[in-house]
Amino acid sequence: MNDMRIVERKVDTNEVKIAAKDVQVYYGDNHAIKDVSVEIEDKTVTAFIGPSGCGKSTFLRCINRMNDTIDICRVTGDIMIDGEDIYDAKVDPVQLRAKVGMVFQKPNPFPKSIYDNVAYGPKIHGLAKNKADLDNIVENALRRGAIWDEVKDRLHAPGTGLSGGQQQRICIARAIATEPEVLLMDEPCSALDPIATAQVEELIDELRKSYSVVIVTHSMQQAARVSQKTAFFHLGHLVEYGETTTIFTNPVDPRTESYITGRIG
Amino acid sequence: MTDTSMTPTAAAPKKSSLLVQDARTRKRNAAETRFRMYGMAAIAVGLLFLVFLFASILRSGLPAFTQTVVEIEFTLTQEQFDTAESKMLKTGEYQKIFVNALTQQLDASGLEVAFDGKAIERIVGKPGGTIRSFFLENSDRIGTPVSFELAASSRVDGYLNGRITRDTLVDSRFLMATDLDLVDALQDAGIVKGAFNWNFITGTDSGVDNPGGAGLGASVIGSFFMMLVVLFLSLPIGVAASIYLEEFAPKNRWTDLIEVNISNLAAVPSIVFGILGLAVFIQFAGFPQSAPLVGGLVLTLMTLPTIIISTRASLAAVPPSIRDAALGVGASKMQSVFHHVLPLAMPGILTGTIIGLAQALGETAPLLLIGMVGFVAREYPDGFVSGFTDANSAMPAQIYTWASRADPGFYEKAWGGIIILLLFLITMNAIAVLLRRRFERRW
Amino acid sequence: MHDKHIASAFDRDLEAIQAQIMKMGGLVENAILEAAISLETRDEERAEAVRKSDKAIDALEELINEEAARVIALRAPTAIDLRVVLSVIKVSANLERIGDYAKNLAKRTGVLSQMEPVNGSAGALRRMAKEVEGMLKDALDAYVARDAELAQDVIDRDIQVDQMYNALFREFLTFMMEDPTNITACMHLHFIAKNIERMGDHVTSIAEQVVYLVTGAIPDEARAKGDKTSLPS
Repeated sequence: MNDMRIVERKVDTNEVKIAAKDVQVYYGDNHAIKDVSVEIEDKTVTAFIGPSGCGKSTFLRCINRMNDTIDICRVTGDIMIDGEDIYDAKVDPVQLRAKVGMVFQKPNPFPKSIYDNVAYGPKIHGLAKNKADLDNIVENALRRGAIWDEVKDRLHAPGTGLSGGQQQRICIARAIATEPEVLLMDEPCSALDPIATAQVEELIDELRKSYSVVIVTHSMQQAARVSQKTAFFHLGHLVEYGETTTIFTNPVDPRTESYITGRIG
Repeated sequence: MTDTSMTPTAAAPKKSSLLVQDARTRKRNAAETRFRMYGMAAIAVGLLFLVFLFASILRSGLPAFTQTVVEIEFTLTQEQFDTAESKMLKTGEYQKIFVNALTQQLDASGLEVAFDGKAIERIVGKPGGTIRSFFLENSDRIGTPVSFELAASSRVDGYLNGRITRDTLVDSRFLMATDLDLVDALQDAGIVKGAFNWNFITGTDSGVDNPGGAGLGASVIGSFFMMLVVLFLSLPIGVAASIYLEEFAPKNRWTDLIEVNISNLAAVPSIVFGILGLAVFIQFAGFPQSAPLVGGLVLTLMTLPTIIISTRASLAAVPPSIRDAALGVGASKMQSVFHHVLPLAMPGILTGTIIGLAQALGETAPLLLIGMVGFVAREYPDGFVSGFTDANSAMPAQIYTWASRADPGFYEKAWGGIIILLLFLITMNAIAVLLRRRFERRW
Repeated sequence: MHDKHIASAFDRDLEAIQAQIMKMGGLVENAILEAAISLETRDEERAEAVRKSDKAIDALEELINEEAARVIALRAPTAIDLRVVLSVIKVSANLERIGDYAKNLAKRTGVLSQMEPVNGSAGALRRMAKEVEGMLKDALDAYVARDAELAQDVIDRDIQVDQMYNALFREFLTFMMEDPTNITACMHLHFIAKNIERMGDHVTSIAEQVVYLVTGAIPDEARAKGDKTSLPS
């Protein structure tokens, strides 16, 4: 009977893109992330779920070293992207962040024109040889961000003059303009209405064909809809990591079951 | 007897109607109305003082802008010219020529007041030098009728302004009671009239005995050069220091110490900076005394804390989401500050700078100590560079000097100077408000 | 058992539909018993009562389905909650079929009471019915207690019911071959036996749902198929 199972949900075994091993994160004396080891696959959407304060956003920000900007934050352990340790002394966080893009919870386009928003990243990383090249990059990014049709006539209007959902898609286009390999999304839909949320989720589904996407979300329904693999964090520990279907129909750890059925906070 | 037990039929507490205000609401509304009244009264008192201030400034200062002039036309013959040039006391000769001409004109006009040459001199002052310089430069006008507008003496000026009245006049060698009749007659004849005193705005300071000829022009130039120095030094240094402190400095005790000291600097009395300037810039470093350069350096030190504090506030007001977004896209810290944070903080920085400059413009105490006092502003500087190094004064110091002179004529000059200074300050603040409005951004 | 949901209304909803199942189970158990008694005692009135009570059973199944759909739409249940709701739907469907068979049994009482009783059949049928009723009771107990072992036991007991059916089948064949006048009666009795055997299969299905509910996996294909009557002998 097993061969009659529905095959669409079957995830191809992909290569490991991000490998974290025994990662600890300290905020001063507070041990925020404890012994987290996880292997995140390429061309897959991985969701991080868990109650507030469990460390999922903190761990996400370790992957592009955004925690470096916080003085009291200390990270130990290994995080390897494509086999290279990103906390190695030789690694420049600026270069890392061109390879690992990030989209934040509240849409934060620069107060510049839409064109300048998307062009900023490629410009500072020298990805465009001339103006025509840059125009191409901007157009591609906006197309892949599913927002080209809505803004192609007003590329020089300010980025802040759009609706929330459009702004978030501009931010996604901005993040993918630098041709990253990994896309980190920290609760990208929490400030959006249901229609905008659905548009962004559709976009994420498209994006997973090219990137490894890691999304932190408070909404379990969103994690269930959008991801292929899910990691459940609780009090700084990674409690369970597996296929999304399994986690939501028959999780192994009772803590996971309690969280997803709404039995504990 | 009365059954005081609660019966089940006792009515529930009556629900109050929204359409009727209860006592608490009424009391509260009354208290709020009273508070609003206090607020408005306070504003009214403040406005009243402001109106009073402006009224007295205008009343005392506007007369400085009018100058009583004597308009006279006469012809200098070549003969008179040669004769005068050959004498030793040349200006005295021209004085005599002038008085004669005037006397003739007065006779011809049929004046019914008695006058003599001395009276005329007391009224019209001593324009000998002016007349002489004119004919030396324009020798081709000799022999042709030339019309002169010459400043009357300051006492006459005071009489026509209302500063001196017949009751308060004490006969002196400057002005006598009989002269006043003559002045009235001249005024009726149209020879003596009021005119706008351009010299007040464009001229230089005059000697102690010539209040009428005093002008603010040189001090304005002095202030201008000083402000240039302040602007070009304090803005870059202040903004750079703020950016470093706000964005790059590690949060340790050293940084805290620096921040505390900067705040303290803002509270230091300005005269202390004057002493500092005197000791360091003039005595130790040997800069020229009374130079706008030194004044500018001293005022830079004074304005820096203001600019640093306002710049830091503007930088801190930029939301961290913008910095995060820039970092997330792969900008370095410097790039995120210069490409994103600074442009957004610019309106606040500009406003702070202009306000700082406006404050510096009005500073007097430190300038007095470094020698930029009023009487120094005798001439305009020659060129641009010497504008910084030539001894000069600044507007507030000039005003102070005038206010401390004995001659009451200088008193109204001081008020007039205040009016001009206030105009500058109002303009600068208006520019600040405009810039802030124009560059205000939504994020 | 698990803790309570944070949203207590969710707990109340789940408890409500499970209570409906229990009520339905009680009605069905009663129907089986009454049908068997009426068959044995040829009590037509009792049979009529059983036929009428089937309406209540059908109404309950409809109600349970509606409630389950409501919980799915509004609560988006996952993991164990999802299995509870899904199992409730299937169990109610099975109970409804069992109730229909009991009604069927009661219907044939009327016919049989016109004929001569067949030897020994009454006793055998009574034993079969008792066995099935016992299995149903255990399956519902296992459901309430979330007892997978008890449920597995019920699944294993079905083979006995099947064997009893096999025996009855051969007996009836013999009777019919001995005396053709018995054919009508034996045909009816055979259908009754078949109905009881099908009831047993449905009870087994309920027990399988209990196992799925507790473990998350449908029990294997190893369900014993004891009914050999359709195979060539």
